[in-house]
Amino acid sequence: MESVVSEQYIVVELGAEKHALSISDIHEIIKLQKITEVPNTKPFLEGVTNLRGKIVPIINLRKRFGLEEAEDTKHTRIVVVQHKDEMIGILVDGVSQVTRFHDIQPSSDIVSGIDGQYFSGIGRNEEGMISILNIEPILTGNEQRERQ
Amino acid sequence: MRSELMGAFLDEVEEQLHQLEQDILQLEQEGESEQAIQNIFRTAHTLKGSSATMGFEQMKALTHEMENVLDKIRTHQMGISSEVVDVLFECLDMLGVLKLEIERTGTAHTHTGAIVDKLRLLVDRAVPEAEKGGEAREAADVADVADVTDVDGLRKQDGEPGGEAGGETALEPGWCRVECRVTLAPACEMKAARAAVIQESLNQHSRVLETVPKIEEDMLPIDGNEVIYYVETGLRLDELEALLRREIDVEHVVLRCEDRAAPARIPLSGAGEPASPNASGDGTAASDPQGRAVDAHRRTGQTIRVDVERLDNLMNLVGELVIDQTRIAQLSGLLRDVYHADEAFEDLEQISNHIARVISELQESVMKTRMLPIDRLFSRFPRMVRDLAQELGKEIELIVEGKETELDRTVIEEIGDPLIHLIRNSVDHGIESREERLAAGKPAKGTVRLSAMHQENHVVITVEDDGAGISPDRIRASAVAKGLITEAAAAAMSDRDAVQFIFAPGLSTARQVSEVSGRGVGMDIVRTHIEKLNGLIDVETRPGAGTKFTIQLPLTLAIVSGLLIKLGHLTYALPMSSVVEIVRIPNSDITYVKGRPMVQIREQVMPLAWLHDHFRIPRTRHARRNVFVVVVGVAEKRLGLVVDELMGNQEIVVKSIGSYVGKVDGVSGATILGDGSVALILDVVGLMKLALHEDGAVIEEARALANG
Repeated sequence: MESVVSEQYIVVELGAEKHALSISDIHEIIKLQKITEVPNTKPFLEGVTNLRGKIVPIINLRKRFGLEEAEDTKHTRIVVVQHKDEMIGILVDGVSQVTRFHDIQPSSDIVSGIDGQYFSGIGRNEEGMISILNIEPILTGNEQRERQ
Repeated sequence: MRSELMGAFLDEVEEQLHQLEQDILQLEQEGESEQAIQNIFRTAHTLKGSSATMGFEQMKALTHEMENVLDKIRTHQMGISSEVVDVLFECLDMLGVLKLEIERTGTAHTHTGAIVDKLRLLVDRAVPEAEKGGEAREAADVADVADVTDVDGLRKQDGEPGGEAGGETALEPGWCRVECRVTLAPACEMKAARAAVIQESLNQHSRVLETVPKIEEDMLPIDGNEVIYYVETGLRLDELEALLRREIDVEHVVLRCEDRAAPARIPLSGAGEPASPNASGDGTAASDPQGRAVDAHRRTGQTIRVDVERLDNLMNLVGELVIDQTRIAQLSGLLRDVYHADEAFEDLEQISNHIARVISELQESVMKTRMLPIDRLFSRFPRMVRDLAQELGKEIELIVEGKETELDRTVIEEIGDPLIHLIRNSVDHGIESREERLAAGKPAKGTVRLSAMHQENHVVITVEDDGAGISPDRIRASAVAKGLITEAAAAAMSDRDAVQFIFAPGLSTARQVSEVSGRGVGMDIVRTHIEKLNGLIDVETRPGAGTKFTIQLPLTLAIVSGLLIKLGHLTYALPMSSVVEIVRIPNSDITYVKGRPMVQIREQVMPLAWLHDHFRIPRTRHARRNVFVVVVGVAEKRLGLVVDELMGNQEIVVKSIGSYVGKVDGVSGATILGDGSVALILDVVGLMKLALHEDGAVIEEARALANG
């Protein structure tokens, strides 16, 4: 259990909610930059952007969770994760801190009104409980058939 | 390490099989070509060596038997019959099978017994023949010795590398015996194999008489790092040394001329004499085939193998530079207004211009490194045509022209299948049977001509046959029968237009139509494939005289010239290759036919499309009376795209939008603009399809908006 407990997480904000992402999933975090829309694709795909010469798709976590859209602010960030051989950006309202958890409980079917499959568990520390995002289903999930 | 070795082995086998195929074909066409036999022998020997080293018994055994047969041939104990050639082809195919098996599973289990038996049978039968033909053989050998232009050591009774017999042979004029002490790198794995490879390569231009230690066929490990080759060569010592040093794992080379009496090299003035083509550098040898072969050898000596991935990476980096350079140029344009009086700015601008020039040269150079001669592809076809012709009982000659034409390797990879299809069609359906041809007063032998050449920024490939041609009337009839056009339209259509219907999907897939039209299936697939590469395909045919397909392709797919347009506030790029013209038309020129917006530009009526609808961008309501229309074309089809703004053309670096986003209708990729943002590249072929399938609602909406 020691290894689980010592793992570091990045806390991202989505409206009033906070979620955690394992630091090992994260490639880098960048400020919001120009995103080019790509028509007729996954509904939660915000578009593509240029990350040092690479075309990187960006998904909108609000749209993915069926939350209402929010204005971009100066806190808006793109969390870039590695998925298969590609890098994919996840648009979040903000990134607040790095944290560790004392212990991690399995998540229930519904977390804050969002489908439980998008979470790998609930982490607990001094500040309270934070749901941990499960990247794989968030990126692919029901969209499996759309992948090549 | 092991897998690296395996990779190198497979690469080598691939190359050798390729060479083998060409040589066997040459053997078949030219009959007793000593050069070809020698080459085949050498290739089989190399394969035997490397497969033995890697422990692939099957391959080793097969090549060993091949060697036996070839040895009989080159020592004139056996003639070349079509049977021999067929068996050799079978061997080639079997080696291909074995290679594939090794590639997939790491071992080979396919039974080679049947073919080995065939080879043995050939050898057995050759023995009595050899006995009675003994005298003739001697005569041939003598003739051989007299033939001083021969380089390959054919006249050594025993051409086996490392054999002793050659030591007694008189030196050719200008040749000398050289002792080459080659020190291999201590890190070299399998020194025996490396030593054998070096021997092979020496044998390409010189004759290896003896080696110390002896390099055995079974590749026994050798002790120490030094190998001494006793060589007869027509090369200068420094040339020989340079060649040896180019070999992998060679650390040190010491040469000593043993036979000082002989001139080390024919003087240039002696080029008119029957000199060895190996007396390189005079260029006069280039006119005969052997001279060319030597030329080719010399060139391969100066090339290195580079992983394709590295080249791709290099191309990506150059792409980055191109983008950054565009950005610098744009910024410098902006700054000029502010700092135009500043000297430092002037310098900066000069530097920027210089960088632009360097980058464009760099781009060209890198592009060239990715280019391969189309021969890579073309050389597959003689065998294919041969087999197909034999199968169909036709006599067909394949003429290949311009095989040295170079184009991007990705294009070469992609164009293979369509070409195979076209050539098969020509052989199968284009060329008539022997009887029909004779009845039509044509030579019995049909001709398929495959050619490639450069034309400005394109490569043009043609596939032409002198067969029966395509009858426009039959095409018309089947197009009507398929319901593609009405009878009246068919009648009004020119022959040229009618023939284009062979590319229509409905027409080519139906079986009875392909019988009627005499053209095989899948021409629509051929066309789709070529259009995907931003290429064009055209067909010309004369009934009774033949058919010619012309394919035009871009030199590269990585960086293309693009037209930047705006729809709303979004920028898109269109490949210039598919832009026909740009016009400004008054709104009043747009007419509606069955609800579809159409426009007539220069006598041609074409549909208009607002991509806004497809891309879910609000249509811009223009106060002005005119709209910009970019006319895009694929083959004979035209489509007018209504755009909001034209931003000019520039070189764009084509990038994939990746498999996560997947295939997007109407979009072929993305590029990065001068300001660092991403623009989607429109897929004209896809747009055409979209425009033709636009549903009624959109069209209605279009009408309302356009009228409003």
